[in-house]
Amino acid sequence: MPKLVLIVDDSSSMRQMVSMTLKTAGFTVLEGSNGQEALNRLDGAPGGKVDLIITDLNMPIMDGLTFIKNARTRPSAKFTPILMLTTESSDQRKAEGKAVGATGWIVKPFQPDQLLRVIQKVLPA
Amino acid sequence: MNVDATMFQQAFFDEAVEVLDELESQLLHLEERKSDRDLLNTIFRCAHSIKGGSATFGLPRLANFTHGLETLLDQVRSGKVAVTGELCQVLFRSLDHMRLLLSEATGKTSNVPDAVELSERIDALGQTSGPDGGVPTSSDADETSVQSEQRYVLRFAPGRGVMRFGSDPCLLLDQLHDIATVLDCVRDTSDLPPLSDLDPEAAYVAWNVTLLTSETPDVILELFDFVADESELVLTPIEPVSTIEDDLVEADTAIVALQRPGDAPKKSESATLRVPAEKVDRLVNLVGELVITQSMLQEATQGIEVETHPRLFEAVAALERASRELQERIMGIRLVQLKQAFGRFPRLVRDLSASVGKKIDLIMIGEETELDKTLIEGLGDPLTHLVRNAIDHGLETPDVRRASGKPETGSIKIHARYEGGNVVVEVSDDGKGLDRARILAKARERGVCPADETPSDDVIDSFIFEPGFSTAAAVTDLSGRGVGMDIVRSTLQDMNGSISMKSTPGQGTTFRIRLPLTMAIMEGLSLRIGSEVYILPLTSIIESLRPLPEDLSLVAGQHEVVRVRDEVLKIVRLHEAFGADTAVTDPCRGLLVIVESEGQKVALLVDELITQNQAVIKSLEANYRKVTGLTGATILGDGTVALIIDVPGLIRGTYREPAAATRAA
Repeated sequence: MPKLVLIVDDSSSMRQMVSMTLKTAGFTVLEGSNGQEALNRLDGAPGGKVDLIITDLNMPIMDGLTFIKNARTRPSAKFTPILMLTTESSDQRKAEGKAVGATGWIVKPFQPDQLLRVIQKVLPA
Repeated sequence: MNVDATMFQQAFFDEAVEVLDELESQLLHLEERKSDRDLLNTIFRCAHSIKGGSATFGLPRLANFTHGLETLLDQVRSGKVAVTGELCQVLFRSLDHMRLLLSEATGKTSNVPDAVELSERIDALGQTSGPDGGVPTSSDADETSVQSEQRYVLRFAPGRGVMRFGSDPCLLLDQLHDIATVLDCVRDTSDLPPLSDLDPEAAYVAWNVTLLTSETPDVILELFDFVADESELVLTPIEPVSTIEDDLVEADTAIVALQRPGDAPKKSESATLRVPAEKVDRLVNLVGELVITQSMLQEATQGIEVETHPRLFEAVAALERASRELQERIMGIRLVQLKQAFGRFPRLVRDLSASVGKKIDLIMIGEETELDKTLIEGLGDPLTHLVRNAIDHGLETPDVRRASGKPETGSIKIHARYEGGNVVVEVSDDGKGLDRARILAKARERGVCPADETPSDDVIDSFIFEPGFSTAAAVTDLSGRGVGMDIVRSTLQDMNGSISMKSTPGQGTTFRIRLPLTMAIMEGLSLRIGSEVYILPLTSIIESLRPLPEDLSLVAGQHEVVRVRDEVLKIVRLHEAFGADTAVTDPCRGLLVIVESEGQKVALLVDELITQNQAVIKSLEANYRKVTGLTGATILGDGTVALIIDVPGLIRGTYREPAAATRAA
């Protein structure tokens, strides 16, 4: 069974790139353009579960940190790896992420192959 | 398919246009709604989105400009900077500039100037001291450092709650396999509580991993980035046990090399024997005699029917196989690695380059290439001369190099490899190359080249091999005594080798030395001229043919040439060159053998080809004297002597001197 990834970002070109990268690597992809949409996608997935979540932080309607906090309240997403797309890897940012339950981060801008390398850290091959 | 960010540039362009439009409509509301947090956030997000996208999808100018803007807007939305009329002006102007840059990126406009003054206004408003080193562009996080392997012990004790954040300690440990060799992994369960107290969602197990890697510590620790804050992570380098042993072996080899540079090769394991060189030489000679005797036997069986003496033929065939193998193995004893000849160069280059004030890198490739011991010894001086030449004349000083856009440090490369039945050693430098004008002038001065002739570049290059030829302005300490190159060439020729050279002005020079794998035995083709038998080295032969009268012609009234497909080659009448009597003087009745050396071809006129043989080379100098045009002699199966033709020498002679080939009418 191919692994299911939820990608959340308000930039459509970013979603396209990440989605294509993931699909080429054999994943199936769900997309959301903001936190609220993403929660809907998550709840609508088979068993309310996805294998990995990648989310931007700056989004309208519901931003990334709020989305992560909400996602973690779903039992099916308690241990799902969640990666934040962040433009800085400051300690403050990392702490904020950890506080709401993020697993890790990918620093923007990034190249597609870097994305895949980070995913390897949290998702078995 | 490899996904690349730039594949999505168009998608980003489209998106950016929309975002900029949205930014514009939001900005229009800004002046009336200065403290609307949502509005400020939206405006910030627009800039943030453009900045991130332009950096990701390869638009550095837009990314750099927007970076400053984003910083300013972040401060505006957090209330640190007030919304004033001036701010709104700056924002609108920025919007216009971003549109321009975007349009430049899509190819609709060109040469958009930097908005230096605008950027300064932005920075001033944001009270920042300028872009903090610019926008980070995607860099390859994988910097492999070139360092030798080192052992470490890594202690990894994940924090209790790591799994609650979706991390899997086992997965993190698995990553180690990508960058290291894991030598040992010991689980530490000392923290594990009794089952009744165990929280299944908590992490209790720790690991001590011994690994071997050439990566730096931060690369190793980076794998555990995500959990580093809440985990115990200690990386300790440990000394490899074998260092001392390695040092001892090195010292041992160095000492032996100092004592006897020319002896049989030293093996670091297994039993070795020290054998005086003369004993091996005598063995080689004996094997040579054996080969001759064996071919005499083969010859003697020519007149006998196979069927009548089957056991004889079997025995002769077996003898041939055995003696061939014996020959190979004996020759193998004499083979020594070139490492021996190369050993002196690192020190030589270092010392010499310091004394002439040049920065030079020495690269040596192919030290393991093996060569007959005698050849290695003979190679030392010529190689040294070439290297000194490169340092003294070839490479320029750091100043000159910098001025011509080259890296300050010049490089000399010594590259040895096998090519066909030969060993090729190239000495090349990336210096200034040969000054052909100067060489030509000198050649004319010395009468090597007639004043009215302008030879091709290749011929000019070959002038440096003439005796007494050196264009060094003053005789320097190193080389340039003017006796160099011709001695180099004749030394190499004595070893049945050759040297050629290629030079590109401004870029460098490459000398190419070619040596036979062994001096003693050669694969050859025997041919007849009159009643005499000669041998041609097999590697020099391209083809043979009987020409038609229309293929022959005369150039400049005296040089005979033959057309072969689309080439025109000079004909050398071997019977004239060697003074052999023969009835075959018409090329159309005899055979033209096309031979090649150092890129040049010539057609040799012979009576007929006989057969392929292995010739044990007997030295002419040792038994008689050096003869031009010949490199040695051999004894054939029937006991007669055949002379071995010096193909390179013949070709060189042909091309340089206008051959006064007087044709018998």
